[in-house]
Amino acid sequence: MTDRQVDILRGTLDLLILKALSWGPAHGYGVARWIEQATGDILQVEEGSLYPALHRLQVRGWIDAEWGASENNRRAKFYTLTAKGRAQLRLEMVTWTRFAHAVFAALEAPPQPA
Amino acid sequence: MATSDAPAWRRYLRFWGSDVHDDVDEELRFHLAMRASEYAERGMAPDEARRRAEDRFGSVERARGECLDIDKRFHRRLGYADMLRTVLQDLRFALRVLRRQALPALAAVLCLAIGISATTAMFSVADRLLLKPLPYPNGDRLVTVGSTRRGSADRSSPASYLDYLDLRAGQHAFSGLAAMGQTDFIMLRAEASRVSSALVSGNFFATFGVTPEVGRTITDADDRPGAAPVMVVSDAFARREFGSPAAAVGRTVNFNAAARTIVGVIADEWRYPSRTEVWLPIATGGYAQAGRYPKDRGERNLLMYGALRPGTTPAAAERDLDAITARLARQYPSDDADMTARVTRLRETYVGDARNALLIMIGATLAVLLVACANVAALQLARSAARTTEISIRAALGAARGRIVRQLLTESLLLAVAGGAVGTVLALWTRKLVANAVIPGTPAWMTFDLDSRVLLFALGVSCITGVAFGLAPAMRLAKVRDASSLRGTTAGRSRARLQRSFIVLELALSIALVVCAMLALDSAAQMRRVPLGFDPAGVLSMRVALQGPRYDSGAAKTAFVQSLDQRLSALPGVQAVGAADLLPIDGCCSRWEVVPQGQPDVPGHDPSITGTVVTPGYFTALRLRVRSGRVFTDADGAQSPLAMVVNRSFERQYWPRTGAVGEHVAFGNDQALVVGVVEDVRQEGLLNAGNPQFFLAYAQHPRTFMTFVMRTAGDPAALVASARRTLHAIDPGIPAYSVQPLQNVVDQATVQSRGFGRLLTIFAAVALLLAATGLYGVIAFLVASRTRELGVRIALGANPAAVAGVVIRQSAVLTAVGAVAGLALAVAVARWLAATLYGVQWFEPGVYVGATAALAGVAMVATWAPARRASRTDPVTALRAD
Repeated sequence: MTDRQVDILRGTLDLLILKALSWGPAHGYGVARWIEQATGDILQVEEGSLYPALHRLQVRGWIDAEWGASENNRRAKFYTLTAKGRAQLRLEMVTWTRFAHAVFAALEAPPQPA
Repeated sequence: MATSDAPAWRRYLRFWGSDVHDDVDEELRFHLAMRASEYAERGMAPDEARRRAEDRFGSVERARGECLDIDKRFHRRLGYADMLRTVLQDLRFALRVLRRQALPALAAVLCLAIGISATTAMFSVADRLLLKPLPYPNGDRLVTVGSTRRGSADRSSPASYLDYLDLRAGQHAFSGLAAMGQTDFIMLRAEASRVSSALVSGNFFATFGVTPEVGRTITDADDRPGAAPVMVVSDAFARREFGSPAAAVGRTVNFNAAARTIVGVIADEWRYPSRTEVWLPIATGGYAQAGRYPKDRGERNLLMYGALRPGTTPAAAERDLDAITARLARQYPSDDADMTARVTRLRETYVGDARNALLIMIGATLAVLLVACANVAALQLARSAARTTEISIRAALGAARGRIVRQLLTESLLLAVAGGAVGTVLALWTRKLVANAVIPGTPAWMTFDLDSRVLLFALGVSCITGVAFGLAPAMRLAKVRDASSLRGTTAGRSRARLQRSFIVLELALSIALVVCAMLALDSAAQMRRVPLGFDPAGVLSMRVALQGPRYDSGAAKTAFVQSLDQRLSALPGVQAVGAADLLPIDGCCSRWEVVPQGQPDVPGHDPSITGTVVTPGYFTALRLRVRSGRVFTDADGAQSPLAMVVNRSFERQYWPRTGAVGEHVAFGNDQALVVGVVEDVRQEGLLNAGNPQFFLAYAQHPRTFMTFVMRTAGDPAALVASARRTLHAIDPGIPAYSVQPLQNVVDQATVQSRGFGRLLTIFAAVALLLAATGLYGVIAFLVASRTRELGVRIALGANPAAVAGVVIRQSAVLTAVGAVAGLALAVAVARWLAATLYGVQWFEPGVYVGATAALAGVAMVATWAPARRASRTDPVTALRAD
C-alpha cells in the first residue's frame, strides 16, 4: 500500500457498491476490483467491511443475491442491483455530487478574514 | 415489502437452504481465493499470495460475524413474513370456502354469536360485581361495620352515635372508622326541592379515600357541635344548581331552613351512597337541629364504614371491635346488652344475594355457549363428509397433515371471530337483561361497560370456541389419506357417532336449561301470588317531608297531615286516604323496643319490633283486615290515652290464647293500650312473613316523613297531578316525591326474580332451538346418506310409513338419550337452584314432564321434514344416483 491510496469514507462504500453493480451482476470480489480499477487504485476497499455492507444492502432490498458460477467456474454469490437499489443509487449520486461541489467551493474560496 | 418481493426471497431461500454459516464461509473463501490467484498471476508464490490476500482482507472472523448477524436477523424476519403469508393464504382460502357455502357459514356465525353474546354479557356483569375493584380509592379495604344483636342475621345493622364514638375511639383495626346516616333535606332556592343527603362523620371521605374535585371535603373540625354549618355536594348537583363545580364552592344555601355553606364538590362516581347529592357533618346536621342528638344510646340510625388497615382481615377487625362492644355491654346493659360487631367487605353487600343468581346465570350462559359450539361442530362434521374429496385431493397433492388441520382450523376461527364480533354487538343489549336478572337497582357507579377487558374476553372466548368446535372435525378430516376413505365406512361411522354425541349433548343441556327456566318462572309467579295482606291495586302513594321550623311542633305536623288528608279525600274519584311513615314492602327497619306488660322476660329474646305510625284512614285505604277490636279514629288525639294496634303475629307471640285487645305495651317512657288487632301485611319485604308489627296513631306520634296513600276507583296514575296540586295549595314549600302507584312498589320487589326467570327462559328457548336445528341437520344428513338404502327398501315393497319410521326411530333414540342425560343433569342442578329460589321444590313433576314434552315436541318438528323426504324417496332416482 502506498501513500496515494485513500481509505473509503464511511457511507461512501454503499454508494460505490451500488455503482459497481449498476454495470451488471457481480460477486463481492468483482465489486472490490471494480472500485479499485475505477478509481485508478486510489480508493482502497476495506474488504472486512465490504461483505457486511453487501449483506446489509441486500436486507434493505437494494441488491439481490443469487449463487451462480464465476468466470473460472467456481461457485460464487452474485449480487444484482434491484429497481429499488437503482433508485437509491440515483438519489445518492445527486447528494454526493452536491456535497463534493460544496467541499470544493469551500476549499477554493479566496482567503477571508475570519 | 413483505409481500411484494416475495418471489425473490423464496428463490433465494430455497437456494441458500437454511444454513447461513456455510453460505457466508463459502462467499468469503471465494473472495480470498480470487485475491490470491490475482497475486499469483502477478508472480507471487502461492503461499505468499495467500498470506497477502488474507492480510489485505483484514479480520476474516469479524467480517464473518457481522455477516452472520445480519443474515440471521434477516432470516428470522423472512420466517415471520413467511408465516404471515401462509396465514393470509389460509384466510383467503377459508373465505373462499365459506363464501361457497354461505348459508351453513351464516348459520354457524349466528349460533356462535348467540352463545358468545350471552357469555360476554354475563362476563361484563360478573366482572363488575366480582372482579373489578370498587370505584373508591380505598375500595379494596372498605367494609361495612354492623352493630348487631347477637344471633341476628343482619350484618349491617345501624349503630347509635354514642356507640359509634366509643368504637371509633377504641378500635385498632381500621385506618378510619366512619359513620353515615341517610336522610332527605329540603333545599329552598327558587323553589323548595328535596335533596338526597347523608349525614357523615368528619372522617367519612378520608375513610373512603375520596378527594374533592374542587374545594375540600368535610373534616373532623366541621363535625363538632358549634362548628360553622358546611356541606359537600356532588358534581351533578353543583352543575345543576350553580352551573359548574367551581361556582358552587363558597355559596350559601338555605338548607332545612338554615344557611349552610358549600365547601367542596366531589366527583359523581365517588358518591356514597350512590344517589346522594349532599353530605353534611353529623354534629351540625339534622339530628343536632332536632335537639335530641347525640343523647340516646338506644337510637340506632348510623351505618358504619371502615377502611381496614392493610393486612387486616374482617374477622380480625370483628375481634378488635368485640373487645369494645363487650365493655359497652357491661357499661350500658339497658341499651348495649348482646351487642356485637359484624365486619363485611363492602363489595359483599352488593354481591350478597346476587351471588347465587350470578352463579346460575354463569352456568346457563356457558350451557348456551356449549350448545352453540356443539351445534356448529355437528354442522362442520356434516359438511366434512362433503369435503372428504377435496381434502383427499389436497393430501394426495402432498399437503402435510398439520397444514390441512391448520387450514380447517382457520376456517373455524374465522367463523368464531365473526360470531364473536356479532355476539359482542348483541351483548350491548343482552348485558342489560343479564344485569336486571342478577342485580336490579344497581348503584350509579356499577356500569356494565364493554371495556377492553370484556372485549378481550369476547375475543378469547371466540378463539377457544373456534378451536373447540373446529378441532374434532379438523382432526377427523386430516386423517383422510387418499380417495379410498371416501368409500371406507369406518371413518364415516365414527364421524356419525361423534355427530350424534354432539346432538345428545345439545339436547341434554337444553332440557336442563328448560327445567331451570320453568322452576325460575314458577318461582316468580309464586312471588306474584304472595298474600300481601293489603291491596295495592288502585292506590297512589305520595311521600311528603314536613321539614323546617314551621313544622317543628307535633301539633303543626298533625294539623298539616289532617288538612291534607281531608283535601285529598275530597278529590273526585278518591275513595279513601291514609298515611304511614313507612309503607309495606319497603318499610323496613323502623324498630322500637317494646315491653308487653304481664309477660315473663325471656332472656336472649329480641324485644325490638317494627313499629309504624299511621293515620286512621290508613287501614281502610290499604284494605287491611281487622281481626278484633278497632283501628284508630280521630278520637285518638294528642290528649287522649295512647292507643296501639298490633298485628296477628304480635298477638300470637305474646297473647296467643287471651288475645291482645285490652293489654298494655310499654315502649320508651310511654305505655299504650292495645285497641285492635289486624292481619299481617308484608311490611319488611315481599318474602318476609310472620314478623310482629305494631301501629301507632299519627296524632299521638307525629313524624316528619309521611307517605300518603289514596285509593281510587280508576287509574291511580291519573291522580298524580291533582294530588300534587292539593299538597301545594296547603304549602308550596313542601315537595312531593315518590309519587307512584303502589303496585309499582310491589312490582319492584319481584323485578329481579321476573328478570331472572325471563332470561333463563330466553336461554332455554335459544338452546332448544339450536338443539332442534342440530337434530334436524343430523337427521337430514342421515336421510341424504342413506338414500340408496331407502330406495332399495321402497323398491322391495316397504311402505312409506315404515321408511319414515326408520328415520323417526333414529331421531327418537337420540332424543331419548339426550332427555335422560338432561333430566339427570337437571335434577342435580334443580336441587341447588330450588334452594335459592322462592317457593319451589326441586321435584316438581309438572316441570320435568313439561320439559320432556317440550323437547319431544321440538324433536318431532325437527324430524318431520327429513322423515317425509325419506318416505318419498323415489327408488329409481335413488338407485341411479351413483
